[in-house]
Amino acid sequence: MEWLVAVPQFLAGGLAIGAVYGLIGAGFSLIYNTSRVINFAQGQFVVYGGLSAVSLVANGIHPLLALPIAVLACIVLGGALQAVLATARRGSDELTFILVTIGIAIAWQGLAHQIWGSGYHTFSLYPEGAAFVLGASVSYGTMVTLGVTLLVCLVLWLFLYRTLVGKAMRACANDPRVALTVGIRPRTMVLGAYLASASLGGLAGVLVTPSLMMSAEFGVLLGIKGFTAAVVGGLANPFGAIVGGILLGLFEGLCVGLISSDLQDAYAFIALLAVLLLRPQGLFARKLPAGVR
Amino acid sequence: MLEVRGLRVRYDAVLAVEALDLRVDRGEIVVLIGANGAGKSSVLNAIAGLVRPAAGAVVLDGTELTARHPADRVRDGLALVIEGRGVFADLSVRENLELGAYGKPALRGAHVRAREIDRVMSLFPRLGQRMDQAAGSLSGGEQQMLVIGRALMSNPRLLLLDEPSLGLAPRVVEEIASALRHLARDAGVAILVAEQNAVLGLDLAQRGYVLHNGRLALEGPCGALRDDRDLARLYLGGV
Amino acid sequence: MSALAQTAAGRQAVPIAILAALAIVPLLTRDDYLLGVWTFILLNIIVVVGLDVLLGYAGQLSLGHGAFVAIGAYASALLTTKLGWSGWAAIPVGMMVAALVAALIAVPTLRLRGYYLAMATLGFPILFDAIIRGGSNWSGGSSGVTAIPRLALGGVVLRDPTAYYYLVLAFLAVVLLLVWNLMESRLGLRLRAIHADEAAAMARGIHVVRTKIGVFTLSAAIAALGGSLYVHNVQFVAAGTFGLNYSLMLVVMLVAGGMGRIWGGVVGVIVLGWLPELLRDAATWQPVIFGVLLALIMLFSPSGLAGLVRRRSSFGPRSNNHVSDAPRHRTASGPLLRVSGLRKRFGGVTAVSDLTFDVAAGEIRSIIGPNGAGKSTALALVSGALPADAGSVQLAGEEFAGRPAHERARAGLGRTFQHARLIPTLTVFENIVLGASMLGGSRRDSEGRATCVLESLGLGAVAQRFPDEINHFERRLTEVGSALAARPALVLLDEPAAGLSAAEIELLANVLREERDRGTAIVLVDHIMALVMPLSDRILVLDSGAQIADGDPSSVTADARVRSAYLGQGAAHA
Repeated sequence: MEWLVAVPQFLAGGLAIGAVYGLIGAGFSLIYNTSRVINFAQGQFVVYGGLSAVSLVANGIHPLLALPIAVLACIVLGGALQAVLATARRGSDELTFILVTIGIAIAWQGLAHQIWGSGYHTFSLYPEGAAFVLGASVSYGTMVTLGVTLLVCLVLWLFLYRTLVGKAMRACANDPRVALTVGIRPRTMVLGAYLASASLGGLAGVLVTPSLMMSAEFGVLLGIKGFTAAVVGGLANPFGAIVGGILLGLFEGLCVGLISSDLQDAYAFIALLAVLLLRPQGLFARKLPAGVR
Repeated sequence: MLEVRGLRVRYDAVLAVEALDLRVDRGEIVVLIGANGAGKSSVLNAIAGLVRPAAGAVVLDGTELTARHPADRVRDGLALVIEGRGVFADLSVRENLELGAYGKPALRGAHVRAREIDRVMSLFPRLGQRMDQAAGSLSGGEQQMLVIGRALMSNPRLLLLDEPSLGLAPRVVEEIASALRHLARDAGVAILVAEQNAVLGLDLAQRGYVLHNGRLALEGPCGALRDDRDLARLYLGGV
Repeated sequence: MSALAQTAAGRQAVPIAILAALAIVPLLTRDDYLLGVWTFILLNIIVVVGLDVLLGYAGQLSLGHGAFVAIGAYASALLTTKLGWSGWAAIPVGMMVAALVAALIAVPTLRLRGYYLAMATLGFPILFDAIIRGGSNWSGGSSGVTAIPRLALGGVVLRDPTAYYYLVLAFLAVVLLLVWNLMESRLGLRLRAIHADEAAAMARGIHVVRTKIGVFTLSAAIAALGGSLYVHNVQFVAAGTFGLNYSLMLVVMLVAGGMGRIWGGVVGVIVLGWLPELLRDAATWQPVIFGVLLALIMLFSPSGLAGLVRRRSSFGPRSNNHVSDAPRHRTASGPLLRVSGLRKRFGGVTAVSDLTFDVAAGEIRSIIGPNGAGKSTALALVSGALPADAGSVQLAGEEFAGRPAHERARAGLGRTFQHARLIPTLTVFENIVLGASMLGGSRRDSEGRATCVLESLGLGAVAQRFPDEINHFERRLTEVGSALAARPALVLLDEPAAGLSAAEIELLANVLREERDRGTAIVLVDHIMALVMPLSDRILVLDSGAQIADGDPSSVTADARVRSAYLGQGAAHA
């Protein structure tokens, strides 16, 4: 029964990465809500965020300054992505957008490979040490990550529910045509969603790299796990995605601890298939997004 | 205030509107009536910019609107209420109203918004009880009031309404009609209403245009149109 | 040229030409190395042809197809090296395992939107990779499996590159001919329909989910075949051999060559298949090049190279085969269609409340009402496109409430849509054949039935044109034809007269009258009185979701409530 004592520790192991999945998932949700596109390149923002920070720090820039610069770089990438997608012909179907974002994801991953190689990189950010919480040792890095994620949730909530522009973005998700009639420009809202998603991804990258290292190879996998987080929480809701991500992280941590760490990436995949089979609308949505049978 | 000249609207191979001229003056209510598919929605959508006309000009208070992005036309003083209401279903009543002011940056300030919301509530008291409810849960009549109120939040000079009486009980329709009359008379708003319900439309407006198969079939003061026997024939196919 | 394409022999022209061209390659080069590359290209063609069925025809995105290739490769590798099996026995096992895994992934995802399948298939190679690396004691991990035995034919081990090339070519011939003929058959029409418009496909009685799962498993099995043939030649496989980059390269080759044409994939593989060889020194740039290529092609030329060549249909009108003209026989005591208590709400708004009416065989029934009355919603509820909140829909006494649209279509309930939903990638004749194929039978039966309908609608001249090349009326007639070709007992028409001129409305009315005289029941929703009034036997009038009148045309127009609903209060005496 001694494994039972270790459970809190297993769970704690998945907290930080779970928050990261959640931030990626929130990014998926924002883009999907405003433009009905699933951005397969979402995971790349995380990689570029983390590795840019590594390079900046390696070049002598203070980590706390490197963070916002790295996130800014991701925002630029996000804008570039949206600009490319905007060139798509009218009436392009879903398959087209999926393939374009996949192509861009692969190209960016290849580029990251060129720049940073395939190895693991990290930089120092968090103070050393851990605290003992509920039977588990939780590193300061994890606590900072969770704290920042919570802060992000708050900011996102304030934006979407307390500012007019945020409300306009939600309105656009409901009905872009009607949004035009009150003076909202859906194109601008979509761009905003891409910039926001990119910053969430970049932030996730800079938060997780100091704890768990980053490699150019991780992009696609992180994207899939972030998507799983969004599916668990319900695609329509960025906050649901963040909760979904943390749940996914906990689940992964538990499985890695109790079963094996060799199949680490398999657990998320199984979780995805299970959710799609049992409750495709996720935990927090009442029904599936429009267009599903 | 509003002048439309030679409007032609096409959807692929189908000609929806052809050679339409109409005008609406300040403080006037004008009705555009016609059966289903006569082209009424196409006219309003073309004026609001949701669809680009194949030919013709739309002029609002001297400004040629044809090249203006639909979102910018709100700033020019135009507001459209689409057919089928068009509430933002997941947003609250209050949020819907607030967004009505989005198109006019000058009116976005919190104080101004609050004042305008009060104005709308005095016009449609029923909304006051539902301010924090999701708009999608409102009844048809309440949703209609909401979208009209939302359109008013931008202080429009020209208000376009596409079939506002659709699916509403007569009492509710009368409430809305009286609100519109008040707007035109006291605030000088020019109002163009597309209506399938001919009697209601002619009752509400001062002047009317009758559309049939995309073309102007009749026009004139509503009193004269009301007595016109051709009207019934146009609607029910002459049986 | 078209006529040739439509004969049974002419239909094989394309695959035979491809095979013939590939067969002379070893004669043009003696270089073993080049022959090896060409063999690899042949293998990729096998895999891409299978992928084309899934992606190009059915429009379903498998981003991790390399994993199925890997399954075949590992099945062959492990069964022969660890268990001493013959390669020939290992190959079908690999194909079956791949098919099984594909079904496991497909079932939860294919009911949902396309991006779910895309994500799930993207994850699968990563998962497979993890399993291989993790189970290194049996799988060889990252170092892989070596010394995989070659295949032997009649006691002779196939070592000679030329011999192996021809062996793979033989397998390719089987796959190519099989797939080509499947795609040129009515199944191909169904797949294109699913790709273009799933709702329209369901209205044509196609069981969309089952079909998608079927092609997914077929596609996976073909991929596994490629993998097996690969390892028996190269004699080595490791975890990274058929990874994500390979999977995406397959997609790029297919997209560049042109999806949905079979030969497009072949061209794509031949043209781009050399790229990895040419880029061997700059292998790390491969993903960048492929990724950019994919994005550019999808943005600016999604139909690839094959898109430059117009597709020639293998379906054409044939002389009449005396197929039965009568609608499907539905015996019932009582009305053919009985609707009662049908109800539907959207949020706070009641679209249809308590709808109750019936339709007899050989009757034309119209549903009219002012805008927003719920007419289209009512039609969608009866056809099953929209689930009702309450109420019953009985066709010849059989209850259909709660049952999906394709089941109702198969039971004899046909429908058309408000904006003619033709399949844009099928010709006019193919669209009608698609409708006819719901009844099963042979290809000749379907073509014969479709020819009858084509000619009775006067569409003979445009039979081989695509929907974007014909006018609005012809499109409308084609859609009606597609519904009628299934010989429905009852057909639902949603605003068929929209956008038609007076003369065209008259022609349409004649078509519908003829259909009625054959015994088909017709339910027509429209607001163009020039069509409704002269044509209908009985008219149902809706207003705000409720029915306010039901009777023959003259009584309905005289009805005070009807005049009131259309023209407004007080118009009763207008």
